[in-house]
Amino acid sequence: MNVEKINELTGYVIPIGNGAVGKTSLARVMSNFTSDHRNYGHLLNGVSKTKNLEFEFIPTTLRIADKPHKVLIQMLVPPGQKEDAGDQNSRSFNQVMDIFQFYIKRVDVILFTYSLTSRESFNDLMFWQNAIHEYVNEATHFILLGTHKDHIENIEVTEEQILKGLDYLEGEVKKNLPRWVGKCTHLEVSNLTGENFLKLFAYLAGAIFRSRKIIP
Amino acid sequence: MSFESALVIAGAIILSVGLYYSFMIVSILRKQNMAIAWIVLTAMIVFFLLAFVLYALQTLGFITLTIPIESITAFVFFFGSIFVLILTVVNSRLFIDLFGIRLSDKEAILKFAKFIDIHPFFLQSRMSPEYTITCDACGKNVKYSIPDIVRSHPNLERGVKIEEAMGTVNYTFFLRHRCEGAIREIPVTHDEKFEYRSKRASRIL
Repeated sequence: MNVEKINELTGYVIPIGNGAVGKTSLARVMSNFTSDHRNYGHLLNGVSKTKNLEFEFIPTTLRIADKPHKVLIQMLVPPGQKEDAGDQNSRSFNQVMDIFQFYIKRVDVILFTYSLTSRESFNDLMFWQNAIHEYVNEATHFILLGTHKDHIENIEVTEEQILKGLDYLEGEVKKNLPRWVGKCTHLEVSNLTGENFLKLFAYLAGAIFRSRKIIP
Repeated sequence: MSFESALVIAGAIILSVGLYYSFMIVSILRKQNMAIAWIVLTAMIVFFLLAFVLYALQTLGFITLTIPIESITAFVFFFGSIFVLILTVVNSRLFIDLFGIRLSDKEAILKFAKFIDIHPFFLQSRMSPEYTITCDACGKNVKYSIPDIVRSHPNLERGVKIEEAMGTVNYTFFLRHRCEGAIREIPVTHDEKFEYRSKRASRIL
C-alpha cells in the first residue's frame, strides 16, 4: 500500500493592531471557517475586548510541489491596548508580551491588523511596528491585513495608502534586520462574510512553510 | 447721603462683582499661560475700587484726603481709557480666535503653504475646491475649503495637525461650524493630496 507521507508544521502567528480592529474576531472566524459559509455574524456577537493573550489553534493544509503539508497555525492574540488603563482585569500589549516572553520563542508571521474603516488604526501601525520588532527574526513574514472589507461605504484607507504603507513597513524591517529574508504582503478581509479567508489561509500556510524552511 | 455718594457706592459694589469674575477668568487662563492681560485688568479693577471707596468716604465725610478729588477723578479717567484699550484688544483677539480673520483665498493658501512647508504652486488647484461633510450634531451639510480653515484659525498650529505615518502624510483640519447656537469643531482628515478621507466626532468649543 502506498501511503503518502504528510509533513507537519506548526507556525506562530501574532495579529497586532489597535483595539477593536478585529484581531480576536479574525482568529475566531478562522478557527470556524468553512468555504461554503457566508456569514459569521453569530461568532462576532460574543467577541469582547481582549484582556490577556488569547490562543487559537487552526489546522490547515498546503500542497507544495505535489507534496501535502499539514500546517497548524497557532494564533496568539494580544490585547490592542497600548498602555495600562488602570483596569486590574485588563492588561496592555506590553504587559502581556512581558508575561509571555518565554512562551513566544519565535514568530513566523505578524499580521499588522487595521480596520479599513479607520485611517487612524492604519496610521497607528507605526506604533505596533516599533512594539513588535524585538520578536521578529530574519524569517518572519508580515501581512498588512485590513479588516471590515464588507463596510464598503465607510472605507477610509485607500489602496495607494496600503501600498505606500507596505513599502514603509518593508523599509523599517530591513532597517532593523539587515539580513531579513521574509516577505511583506497585504490582504483585505471581512470577518463577517469570510471574504478572502481562503487567500489568508494560503498566505499564512505558505509564509509559515517558507519561514520554517529559512530557519528550521 | 448725597446722590453722587450713592452712585459711587453702587459703582463700587458692581466693581466688586466684576472683580470676582475677573479672578475667575485669571484662574482659568493661568492654566493656559494666557492670563497676563487679565492680571493687568484685575489690578486696574482693584485700583478703581480703591478710588471709588476713597471717593465715597471723602464725600460722606469719613476721611479727608490730601489729594484733591479732581486728581482722583483724572486718574480714574486716564486708567479707565487704558482699561478699555486693553479690554478691546483682548476681546478682538478672542473674537478673531473664535470667528477667524479676513484673508483672501490667495493669502490664505500662501499662509497654509508656508505652514506645511510646501511650494504654493502645489496648492493652486486647492484654492477653490470645496469639501462637503455632514455635521454629526445638526445633520446639515458643512462646506469648507483650505482657505476657510486658514481664516478660521489665525494660529494655524491649532487648526491643522500634520501627521506622518506609514509612509504617507495626513492632515487633520479642525473645521469650525456654527450649529444649534454653539460653535463646533469637527476634525477632518485629508491625505497628502488634500483629498478628504475621514472625519471624527465633533466637539463644542
